[in-house]
Amino acid sequence: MNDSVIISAVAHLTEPSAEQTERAIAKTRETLLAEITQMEVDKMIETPVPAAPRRTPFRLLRRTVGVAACAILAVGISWNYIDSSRSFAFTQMIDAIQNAATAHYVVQDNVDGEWIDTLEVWHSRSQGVYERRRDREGVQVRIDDGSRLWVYREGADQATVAQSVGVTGMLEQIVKPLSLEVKFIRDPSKDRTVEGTHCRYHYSVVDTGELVELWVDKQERCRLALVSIKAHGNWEERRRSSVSYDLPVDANRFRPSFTSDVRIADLSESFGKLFPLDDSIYRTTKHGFEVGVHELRSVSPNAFLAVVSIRPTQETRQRSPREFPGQKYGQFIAVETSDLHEDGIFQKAMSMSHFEADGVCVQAYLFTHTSPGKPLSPTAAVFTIGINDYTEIMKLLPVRFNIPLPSTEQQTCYAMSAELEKAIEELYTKAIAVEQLPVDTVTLSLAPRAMNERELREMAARTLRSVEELRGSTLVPKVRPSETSLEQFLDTVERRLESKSPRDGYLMRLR
Amino acid sequence: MNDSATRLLELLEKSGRRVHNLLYKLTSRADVAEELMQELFVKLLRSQAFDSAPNQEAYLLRSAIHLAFDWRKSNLRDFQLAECAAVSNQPVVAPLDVLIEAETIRSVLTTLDQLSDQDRELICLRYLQEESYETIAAQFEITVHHARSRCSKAIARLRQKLELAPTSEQHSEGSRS
Repeated sequence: MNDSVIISAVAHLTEPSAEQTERAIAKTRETLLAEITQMEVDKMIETPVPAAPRRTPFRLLRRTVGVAACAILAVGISWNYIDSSRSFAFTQMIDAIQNAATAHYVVQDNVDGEWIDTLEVWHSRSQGVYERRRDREGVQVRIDDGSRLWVYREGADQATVAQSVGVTGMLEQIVKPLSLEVKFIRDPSKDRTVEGTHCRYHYSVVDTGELVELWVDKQERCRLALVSIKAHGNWEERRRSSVSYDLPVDANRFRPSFTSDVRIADLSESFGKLFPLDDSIYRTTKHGFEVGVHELRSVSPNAFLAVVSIRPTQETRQRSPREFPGQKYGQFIAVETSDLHEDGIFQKAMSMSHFEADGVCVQAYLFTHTSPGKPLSPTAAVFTIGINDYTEIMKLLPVRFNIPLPSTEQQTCYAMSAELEKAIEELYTKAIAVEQLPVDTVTLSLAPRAMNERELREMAARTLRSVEELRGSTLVPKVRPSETSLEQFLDTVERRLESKSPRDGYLMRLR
Repeated sequence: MNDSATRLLELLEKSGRRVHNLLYKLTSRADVAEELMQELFVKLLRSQAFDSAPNQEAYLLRSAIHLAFDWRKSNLRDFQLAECAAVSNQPVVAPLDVLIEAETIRSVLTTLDQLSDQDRELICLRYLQEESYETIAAQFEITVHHARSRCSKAIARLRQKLELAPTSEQHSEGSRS
């Protein structure tokens, strides 16, 4: 084969059409914009630990939890050394605090020579627990008075109140992840007096290479813990935690008070009240569900945020009464499409949060739009959502496919039936063609002002915190059933499954 | 939006057509070229090496070439079918010619994959993308003279490998024996 043949072969490979190229560029632009937006959102709402850490105040602040962890860990593990008959250091730590009338511990972090309070906890046996924690987002305060748990971030316009996790429960939340068994070495030469009490000195160099030093009183309670790292051949003190016992405590610590502009979201009440339909920007009733659009804010010229709720109507609730906590009724699916609109606008939907309770499902989506060569309307947002009638399908599938119903003990939000959930997920993702049932196409006017970064961060943080609080579980089907009836839908599924190879594990399991 | 994201978006507008053309030619499939292009740009968005590359356009084109050849390795059968389809899409070509041309393209591209990264990049840019020697010189940060010389050596090495490689007929005979 001579050079000209080679060159000719390579040079005459088929070229793409202009249309194909433009489409590829538009798709890439759309994907890229969505990735960029995702990265920016991640940057705002997450706390990544850099792979190659640099010592900066900011980084150290981000390590707040770790710092707090180490400090309390240092407190906790001392019990392990002193009383080896106990199984878990953290239970000993909790016991010690609870046995005192009050306890106060403070964790400080050394940031370039300046000590910053990163965690402060007050415990009163008769009044509750107060925790003030500094993290990347700022300062969060949690107060559990034994009946209710309040969570508030300083500067935010919303606080939440929920059922108490119990004073012990809250202490466990703080201490439990920190338990670790470490052997300490006694060194009497460094015994010292802490707050007027003589304390014995113990130390250990832990796996991370950090030096942990403890001073323990005669009642075997840790009073002071220091964590140091090796720098330039010397131990450099980085964290300091101190615990005081039986101090007088201001009762107001355990009574939350907020300024009038802070909205209190009561999570122990009906969840639906957090997102009232009466206040929604848009609402509609379809297929036994009420859909409400609660937030619709422009984030950038080509992106907007939508918070949408879906809840069963009274009639649906009566038809399918709640049988167990966490029962789901349905959820909406934001439509991602490349040709949603005739004018060639590409839309991508990015789920920012999902949470549900009391049968009400609330999801926040970030929609990004690209429109090659065409300016987007600055005042209108268009998106399409579909409803997935989840509960009805859940109820019929066990009968149809002979999947054993979960026992009463299993009927919880998570353990209801993992097998069933998986089967249903596969039904959605495998068997059904991409058919969307748009509830409606919502076209709404946006506020002329774009949401600023702070507002976006607050919105994201608020919804994400809600997820944490509610611990909602979710199953997100990739496509939804067709517009046919449920029976027809199941028939279709069955037919399609039958056409699959019998070697398909899914089909074998169902039959 | 940070600077690197903005630069990447600008690069998409500036060089997106070239990149897509390259990917399409190397994969012979519109859907794959489209997917690879998205994958490429998303990867570059998170790539520190790209961010600090002195010539980002050159980096982009080289990455596209690597990505396309990686795809070819893992999808060889699809690729062969696509080659025939690509050739037969050309105006009025006899079936035998289609097969011969597809065979030639397959041989050349398969052998290209056995060359060094630099040779492969040079051949793709020069003979597949039909870039000028000036452009190639700028992208590789070499002189025009060197670009010409390296392209020539690269094509010679390709030819040498093609001459050593067994034809499909020889290959199948070997298999039978």
